[in-house]
Formats: sequence, C-alpha cells, structure tokens
Amino acid sequence: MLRLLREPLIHFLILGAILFLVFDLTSETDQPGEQRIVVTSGQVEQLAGQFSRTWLRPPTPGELEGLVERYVRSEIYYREALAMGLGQDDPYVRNRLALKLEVLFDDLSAEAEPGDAALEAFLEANGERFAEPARLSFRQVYLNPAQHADPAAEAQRLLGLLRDGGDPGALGDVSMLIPGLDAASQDEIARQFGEGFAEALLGLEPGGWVGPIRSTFGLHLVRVSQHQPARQPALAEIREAVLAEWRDQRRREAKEQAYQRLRERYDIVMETDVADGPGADVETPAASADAENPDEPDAIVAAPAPSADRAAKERP
Amino acid sequence: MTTRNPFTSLATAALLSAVPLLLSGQALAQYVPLGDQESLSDVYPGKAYSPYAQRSFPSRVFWGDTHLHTALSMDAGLFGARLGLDEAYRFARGEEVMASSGQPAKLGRPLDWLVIADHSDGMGFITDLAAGKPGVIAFDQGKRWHEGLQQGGEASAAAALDLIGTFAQGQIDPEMFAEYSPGGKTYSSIWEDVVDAAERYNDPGRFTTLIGFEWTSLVAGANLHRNVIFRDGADKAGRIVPYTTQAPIGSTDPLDLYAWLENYEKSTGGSALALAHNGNLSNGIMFPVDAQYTGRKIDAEYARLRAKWEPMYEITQIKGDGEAHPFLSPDDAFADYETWDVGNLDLSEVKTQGMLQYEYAREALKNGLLLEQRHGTNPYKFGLAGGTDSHTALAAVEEENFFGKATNAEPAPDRMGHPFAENENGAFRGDMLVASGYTGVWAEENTREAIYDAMARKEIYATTGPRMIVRFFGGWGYTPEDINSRQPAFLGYEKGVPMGGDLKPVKGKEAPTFMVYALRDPIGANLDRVQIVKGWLDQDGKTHEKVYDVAWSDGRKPDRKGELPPVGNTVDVNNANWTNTIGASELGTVWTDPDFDPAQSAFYYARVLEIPTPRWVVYDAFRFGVEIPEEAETTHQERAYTSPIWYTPHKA
Repeated sequence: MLRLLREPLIHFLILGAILFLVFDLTSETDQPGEQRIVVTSGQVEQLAGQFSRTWLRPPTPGELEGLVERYVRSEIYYREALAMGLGQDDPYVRNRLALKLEVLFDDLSAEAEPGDAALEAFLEANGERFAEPARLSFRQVYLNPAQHADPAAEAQRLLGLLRDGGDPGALGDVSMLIPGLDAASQDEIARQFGEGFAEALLGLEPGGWVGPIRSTFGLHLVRVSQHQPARQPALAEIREAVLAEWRDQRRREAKEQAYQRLRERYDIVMETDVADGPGADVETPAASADAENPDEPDAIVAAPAPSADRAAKERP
Repeated sequence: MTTRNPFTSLATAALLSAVPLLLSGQALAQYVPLGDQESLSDVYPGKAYSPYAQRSFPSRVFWGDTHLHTALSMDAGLFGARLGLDEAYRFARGEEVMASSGQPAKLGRPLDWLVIADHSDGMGFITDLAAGKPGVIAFDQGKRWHEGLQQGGEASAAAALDLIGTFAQGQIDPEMFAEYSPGGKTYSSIWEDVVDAAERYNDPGRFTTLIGFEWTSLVAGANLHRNVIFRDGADKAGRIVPYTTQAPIGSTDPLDLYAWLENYEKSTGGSALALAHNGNLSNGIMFPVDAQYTGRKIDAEYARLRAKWEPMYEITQIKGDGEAHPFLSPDDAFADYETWDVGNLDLSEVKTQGMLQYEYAREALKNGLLLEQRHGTNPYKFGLAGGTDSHTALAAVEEENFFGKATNAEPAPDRMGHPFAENENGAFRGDMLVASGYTGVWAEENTREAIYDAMARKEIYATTGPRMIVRFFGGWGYTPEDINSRQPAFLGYEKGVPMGGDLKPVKGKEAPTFMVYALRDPIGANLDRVQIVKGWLDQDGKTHEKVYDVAWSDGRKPDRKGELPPVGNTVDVNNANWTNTIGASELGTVWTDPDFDPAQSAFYYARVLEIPTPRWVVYDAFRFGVEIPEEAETTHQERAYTSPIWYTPHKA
C-alpha cells in the first residue's frame, strides 16, 4: 500500500482531486442555501481511519459517533464560512492551499528509478559533493601556557620525552580535551580543537612526535599515525547517497518547472510605476500576501509595498 | 594511587575509540556502576592503547536541537517560511541553504543530530485522499500522465499541467475520479513525508535524525506544549500519526498525551518520550502543585505518569530562558537571564507574580521534591535540554549567526524593532528574542538509539548556544586528587553517578561530594565561573534553594559577604567585539555540600557561566549600521545547565 501511495501518478491524481475540489467549492455551483449534508460511508471510513492511525485501534461506536458529529459540525461551519467569504485572503487558508500544492509538487518524480548511467553522470557533475575528505588519526599532548614560565622550553622538553618513548597518557597538562581522534576529517578535528589546529594537522604526515602546534586552548605536541588522503568514491560505494541527491535535485527541478509553467499563465502587473523602491525589481514582483484581485484570476496585480517587503520577493 | 597507569591508558583507549566513524557492530552496554566485589579489570577489558577497545561509558558530547519547525508547521508557513524537511536537515548537517528571506545561511559548525518537531495539529492528513488499484494505468488519461512523469523534466511539468487542466474542467474519467476522491480508503499524510525525510537523512555515526513532532496544547493562550521524540524509525513511528489537540481524537490534557504514548509503545513495541517547553508562557499551569488546569487534583497517578513520560524539560529557547526568575530567586545574581514574563503565549492575559512558581524549572525541581513526599513519585524529575523552537527550518542560534524565531525575524535591519507579540497587555519586543539553545548529549556514539537513551537517562545538558563541554558527577567519595587525575571521568563513573542520576543512598551523615568540570567552547568565550545550584525540602515541607560558586577564573577572592566579584567585561558594543583576556578556558573542582542534612531530599545541578559577550542585536547593529533600541540588552553571560543529580533520604 505504501508503495502504491508513493506512485507519482497517485500524487497527481490527488493533486487533481484537490484542485477539482477547490475549483468546485469556490465556483458559483456551491450554493449557500444548500441544506443537505451527505455523510458517505467513505467519509465515515476515513474518519475512523484517522482515529485508528492515531490510536492504532478502531474507534468504539461512541467514539465514531463523536467523530461524525464533529465532522458534521465542522462541515456546517465550513459551508457557512465559505458562503460568507471568510476564506478569501485569509492568510492561513491561502497558505494551507499553497502548501498542499507545494508538497504535491515536491513529490513529483521523487521515486523515479534512474539507471546507473544517469547516476554516474550526476556523480561526475557533482564530484565535490560526494568527495571523501582527507582523514587523520592522531594523538596529542596538551600544554597549558599559563602553567609554565617558559612554554616553548617546556614544549621542547616534552617533545624529547615523547620521542624517547614517554607515555603520552602521563605527560603534559591535565585537560578535558580528548587525547586524540581516529580517522577524523578536518571539520571533525576543528569541532574539538578549533580551525587553526585542524588546518595545521592536515599538513602533517604520519610519523613521530612533532610540535608544538597552537590551538585556541594552548600548545600541543602531536603524533599523526595515519593520514588517508581525500578521494573520490566510485558509484558502487555510495549509490544510495547519490540516488538520494539525484532525486532531491530532480524534485526541486520538477517543482520549479511546474511552477514556471503555471506562472506563464499569469500576467503579473505592477499597479503603479515600478521605478522606485527596493522591492521594485520587475523580475520579482510576485503576488504579495494581500494584493491579489480575486475577480481576475489570470492577472495578479501587485501594488507596491509600502516598505521593502521581503516576503513579497520570490526566491531566485 | 596504584591504579593510575592502567586507568590512564584505558581512558585513552576509550576516548580514542569514541570517534564518529568507528561504529562498533555490537550494541554497547550502558555503563554499569561497579559493585564492591567487582574488580576494575572485569569492567575495562582490552589492552590500553587500541583505539578499537570497547567503550564502557559515554565519552563524547553530541550537539543538537530538540525543537525545530519547518514550513510544514502552519504558523511557520504563515510567517513566510518556505524551507521544508530537506533544507532543515541539510542546514543542520552543515550545508549552505537559501533562507526563506532570500539570503544564504550556513551554520558555523554542523550539529550532530536534529529533531524536527512540526506542529501535529494541521499536519497529519494533508489530503482527503486516495484509494487505488494497480489497474489504473489502463485508463487512457492515467497512462498519458504516468508516462510524462516517468520522463521527468519538461514532460513531467507538462503532465502536471495537463492533469490540473483536466480536473479543473471536469473532464476526468468519472470512473477513475471515484477511486481517488475524498472518502477513499487510504491516506497520504505529511507525516509520511516527515518520517521518510528523517530516514533519508539519518546517517549513523555522522548525523542523526530523530523523528518527532510538537503536540501544541494551548489552553486559553497558556502554553502547555510538548515535543514528542521517537527512538524508532519508519517501521514503528510510521505506523501512527502524531497526537493532536482536537477532540475526539486528540486532547489538550497532558494525561491524554501520556495515554497516547503508552498506547504507541504497547502497540508497536517502540519507545517515545515527551518534553515540555516555555513554562514561562503558561501563566501558571506548566508545573502544577495542587491541581491541573482542568481542576483535576495532582495525585500519585499524575506524578507517576509525568515522571515516566517527561524525562526532560526544554529549559531555554528563543522565547525566553526558563531556568529561574528573579522574583523566585532573589539571592541569585544571575537569575534574571533572557526573561520573558509579560504574559502568556499570545499575551491575552498578563502575568502575575503568583503564577511564576509554576513556570520555572528550578522551582519545579523544588516542588517535585514536595510532590514526591506527598505522592511517592517526583513528577518533575527531569533532565535539562535546550532547543531553538525556530520556525525557519534553520537551527541557527549562534549570536553572530542568528536567523530568528520566524521568517519575518530573519536578519534584516528592522527586525529588532519588530515585536514578536504586542497588544494592550504589553509586548515581547523584537530585540528580546533569545539566540538559544542547544542540547549536549553524553552518548556512546552518534546514533538514534544512543542519543535517545542518553535523553531517557537524562545524561544531557542545555546551553544557551555555545558548545562548552561539561561533566558533572555526584557521589560519596570524590577527592581533589580525582579531578587532577589524567581522566577524571573514569573516577566519575566509578565512584558515583553522572548528571541525571540519583545519589546512591548511604547510611551515616557524611555529605555528598560533586566533581564538576567544564571546558569552554573551542571557538567561544572563556568561562567566568561554575556554580552548583542546590534545592531541598525541609522537615516542615518547605522548599529552599542556594547557589554556590564552586570554581572561578582569574584568582578572584570572594568579599566579606562571600560574594565573588564580577569577572569583568571586554565587550566593545560599537565594534561588536570581545576578547578572551579574562576568564578561564577550563574550570573544575570537587565540591562537598557544606549544608547537607541526610534527612532532607535535595537536587544539585551545575550552571556554567561564560564571560560577558555581545547579544545578537549588537552584531545586527554593527552589520546593518542601525541603532540598538535603548531598552535592549546588549551583553549577556551565556551558560550551560546540567541535568540535576538527586538525593533521596533513606526511608525510616
């Protein structure tokens, strides 16, 4: 069933059904005087289904009655409110409908199954996004400059001891800093020791004790035991990740294209001269939250916002 | 100390192995305290130096946000949020995204984990829904659209438009429409998208996603909100839809939420927990002592259920810091921090002083001791978490990189002057938004299970944004030598319990000892001081509190009244700058409670204060070249709050 729900076709049909409903409810065919509320068995089933998805059991007859009663109540309020035009330009209603459409667009093509060739091409075009960063294994011995009259000399002394086989766990100043990391990227090292230290460390090759290297905490003597250089993994190693990114990109593109096609159907008209004000870029007038004229669905007339209304701008 | 050498090397091994990419295939047991008869060698197996040695206790802090909203939350969308689940996860794991306000945004440092907690009301069922048969493709129209979709790109867009047009004109095949109209048999829900996104971005060892939602109970404008966090993935959390507040399916009463949680665990075999937030906006109903807002008396059942389902409390976030209030804690010089006490959430009712005692975490911890005496269980025995509650899909609460409460408070010259709420009862001014907070979790590894389990056992702490490392242990025999050992954490776990734990009872009158130490954020401010906050219940059933300075920087001497002089202030407001020329990068001590009475129940938690740094408004003023409103605070001392350690007397 889940599989079925993921079918893009289903999403389209859902989308269509919603739009159909929206058009239906907002057109003249919705008579304010309509006094009949038909509760279909399908609707009852759906109410019961909502309940069971929340509680993982079917509702009792009493609970079901409550659900139906609530549905009827909300249906009556809904119809009366619609008849009064309360939905028009209500920001919640607008937002909800727009969100529904966006979510459905989001799902477009999400589950498409590209072949390896498509993924290979995608990986190649986006190599840096999938690159494995260089990774280091190292140990460090910390030296707190505040605790020594001559930190540089103390560093040299410690370095000598370490190179002579001294126990790194017993040398240096006590600190909460971790004694080292294994197979850590520059970013992971930086999170513990700061950026400067991480950068310096990436320049080191495996070998003996070296230093001192400065961090935001003080001085460190360091021994790098392993240094895996950055590399570009093959598709087989990271197919799942590439597929996820591929789908994500395709989803964005499909959504944007669908939006652009819809937008082509509208004339966007700025009501007055657009040459003044920071929000006046002709490319980005779009519908501001309260400027749409409901009588002219195909023309969106945007009055210039009194101040630079950032919300009225579209993302590029 | 003869065990030093083995300890040192074992500690090293454990810490070395606690790195993100080394996932042991086996489940690692939680640390089990030593019994008298066990020897150390039984507990720490393996040779010292191997980085693959088995870890036996949490050795790393993983940073995250328990509380982020995306455009899927109705109110977030209303404010203009357009970023969804994908962008939220991408941003949290360190990628640059385009904020809804059209400006690029990137975290200074990635988070290790994230809970997206969109409001459950209005989220669950987006569509009215669809049933279907595989045979649908046989329909002529269906086939046409399906093929377009498979091609993607332009063909897919064209199919979408064709579909819209066909439906709009009522030309759809009626037989097909019947299958997919409202009242069909199955459902699609946003919740499925939420669960699906969490599964896609969960990357054990590197970035953990915990599935969650916010149950947004609002009683006449008073905030009773809880976030729910699952330990489980799609196989369990995907079987239900989130609990809402609308009867008859949902409810605003936390007792009903507990029943829903109970039912979830029973039916699916999964695990979930809840945490409340913003008691400061509840107008006196978040932490009831005598009766709930419904009038129902607080009893043993309420205490038991709340303790069971709410092991954490979100103590700090964008809508105010909820640790302490100066009215309740007049002797605490640092209690008045980012205080929001004008009214309830929507300012429909003003705050009165009588409400405060039921709103703030420290007072709740104290009242919990009283309720335990009355009902046998402490309902307010919670660990301390920090969340953003950002409604932008951006968990961005670094002071110099603060993306605000909602899209209309994303960086812009005028955002300081734009109130969060304002009416005849008062205002939550725009400059009052708090760039806070995050949760540090002491866990064995960065996975859903390990992070959830740490939350459940309360081995967590809250910060107002910075990522200082804090250890806090309580026991009966810590000595100053312990903290000067190479790896105090080993002794911490061996001789006592970590934050979130209970002191083991002892016979006798000896006072408990606490080992606390803190390391400043690697790219943040130095530390001013470490404090231990104690709350206790006396023999007359009255609660008390006291804040002890236990470790501090710069060799300061307390004055005759025992008060520590301020650490100083290096903040240059005009240039949005400060320096680490005061304070200490590391502070720690072993502290013994000087006022201990073995007959009185008590709790202890550590509060770690940074030196003063600029608030976000200062960075705004500098970058946008605007004036800071006169009433705005410009500097503050950011802080960490550890989960408490509790002491319960022997029953006579």
